[in-house]
Amino acid sequence: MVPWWIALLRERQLTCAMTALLAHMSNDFAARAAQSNEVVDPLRALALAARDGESAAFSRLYERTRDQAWRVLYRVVGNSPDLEDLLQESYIQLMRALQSYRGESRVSTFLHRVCVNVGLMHLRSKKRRREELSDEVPETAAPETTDPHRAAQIKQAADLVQRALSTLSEEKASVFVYHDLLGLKPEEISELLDCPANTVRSRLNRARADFTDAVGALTREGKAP
Amino acid sequence: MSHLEHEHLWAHVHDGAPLGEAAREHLEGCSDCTATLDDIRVALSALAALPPVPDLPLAVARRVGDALAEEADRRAARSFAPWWRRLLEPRFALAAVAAVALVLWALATVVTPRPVQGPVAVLPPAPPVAPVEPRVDPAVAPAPPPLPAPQPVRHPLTASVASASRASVGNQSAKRAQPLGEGSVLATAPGGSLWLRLPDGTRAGLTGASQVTLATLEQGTLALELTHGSLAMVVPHRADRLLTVHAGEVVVKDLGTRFLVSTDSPGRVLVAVEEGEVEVTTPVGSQTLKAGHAVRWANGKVDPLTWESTPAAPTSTPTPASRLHDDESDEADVLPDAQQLEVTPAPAPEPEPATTAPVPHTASSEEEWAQLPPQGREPAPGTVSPGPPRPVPAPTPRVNETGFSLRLLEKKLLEVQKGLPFVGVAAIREGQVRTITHLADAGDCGAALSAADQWLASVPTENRNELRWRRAVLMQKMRCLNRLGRVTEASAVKAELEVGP
Repeated sequence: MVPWWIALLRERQLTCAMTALLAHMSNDFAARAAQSNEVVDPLRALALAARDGESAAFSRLYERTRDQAWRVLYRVVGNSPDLEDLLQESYIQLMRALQSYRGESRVSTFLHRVCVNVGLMHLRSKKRRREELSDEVPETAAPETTDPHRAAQIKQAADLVQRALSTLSEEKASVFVYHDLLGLKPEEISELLDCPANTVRSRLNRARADFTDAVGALTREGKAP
Repeated sequence: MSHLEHEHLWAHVHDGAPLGEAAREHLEGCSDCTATLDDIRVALSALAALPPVPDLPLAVARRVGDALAEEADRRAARSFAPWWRRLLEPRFALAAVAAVALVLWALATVVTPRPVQGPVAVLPPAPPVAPVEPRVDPAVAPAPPPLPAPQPVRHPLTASVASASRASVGNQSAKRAQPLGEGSVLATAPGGSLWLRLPDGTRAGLTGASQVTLATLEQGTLALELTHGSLAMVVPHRADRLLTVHAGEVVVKDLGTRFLVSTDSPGRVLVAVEEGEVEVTTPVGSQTLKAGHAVRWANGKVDPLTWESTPAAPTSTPTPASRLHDDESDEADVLPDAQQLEVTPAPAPEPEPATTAPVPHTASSEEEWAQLPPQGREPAPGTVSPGPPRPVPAPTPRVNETGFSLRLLEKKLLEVQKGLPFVGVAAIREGQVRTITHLADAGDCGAALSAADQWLASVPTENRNELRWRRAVLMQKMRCLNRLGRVTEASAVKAELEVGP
């Protein structure tokens, strides 16, 4: 018969051993996660070098990610003559943001978020300008198609989407852009926005409702070309 | 029944999700839900009609890349400034003022004698004490070693390779963007070239068969040691750092400039200034050398030489060549064989108007960091020094982003060493672009338009800057057309510009 206090001691030892094992496992997982992050994100080293003032590293980073940034911006603002400026602005903001980059998040995620924000800010400023001028400002360049009917259709659709998008709140607009314009899944968006996937889903439903209302209002007002 | 959920209606239109019987009945009788359903259809059809995203145009990618490279350089230069300079930035100014006030208050509190409270015992004055010499037996108590003098804090920096061709760092071949620390030895093989990017934004170009050591790379001090060969420097002047190039017995101190140092032996050094001025120190004294002048240090004396500098380009010169595509600059600076040189039939030089004189830089020193040095330029007719007749056609070396072509410099040096005055190689098309810009700047829109049309109609060369020049000419044309009120034509030119090459 083992005295009660020895049993307690053994139990405590077991608890300590389990705690140590769990801690070891969690450390191992963290190390593996960090390792996999390095393997998966080849831009991390470039971003860290750019943060440390190597302008050549930033140039490389730009070369590798510019197509992705271009796609995001084009999807948000359409075929706008300001696209070039927006691309530049996105990277300048990225340059600034890199000052506080610690290598924990994926660079492409970072860039994605910057581009969407820059694009949405542009749409909002355009909306303000439109309200101030109260006349038609040519916003979207003519699409690259030879069929004039199709070109007009595309232009009309793009203008309608952008105008409706500019009426959404930042939170809803981001989710809508990620999901319905860029085709990301709620899980991916939750990583981008650092919130649960269910929050993303409910936010998306509200964003779609607002977007639909805005489209309806614009169509009825006849403002949409 | 309450209205149908927007989520269900969206899923019905988008994914074809079926509606229940009750929902369908509600929809038939509810105008609000019907209107929402119609709006959803419009919204989804608009989303579906969006065109696919085209590829990023190369011209746009390059222009943005240029701008970002300049911004990155500017930031790097800012980080090169002494730490206290940042305190003068507006965001720190308030904090700095508050900190100074706090320190002053603390000092005033500590230093100011407080009035003593309560009775104070008055002591008789102490008798004067004769000074006593400390008697220390050196055998018993050796004097403590003197404290080491405080060492200045070193902030070593790194340079990097901007482009390289047949060049090495130490024993290994140089690679683009390779970081270089203090003490790195860089060398080029005959026919090779290497451009360095120093931490303050300075560019240093090493011609073929040359060797340079990065002797000092510290905050506030940059020094290069040229062992042999030629080194071209493009240096933005900064008062807060000292940049020197040592070549044998000669020390060249930058005063904000583009200059060249060449040495074939420790006792023979040539220093030539393209722009700005430098201070040249030899064992016999110092002198300031201005643009268009050169000196040769040989046999213990300094001889002046004729050196035709390349004048600055107008401020409205188009954006410099891409820095992000250093492969091209590598290619540009490779000393080719004679048959590899790009041969351009040299047309008769056009008389340039008086306005083609170099426009002085008006940019601030901060902007100067961001701007690249001007491109090389063909000397205006009339300013050509007398020399032996040149064969036509003449090869056109490519001038790279720094305004220096290492190949051109090698050729220039060779001729100077032969005792011949150097005459630049024709860059007629570039000169014409400059003329058009000047005409437009001067408001002579008719002449500018005529020259621009003539330029655009002429056969383009293979030169890598051709697209840049074309863009500059189109911009000037659009500007002049707008001034003349020919808006439709200006719009057409604008569209052409937006499409890009």
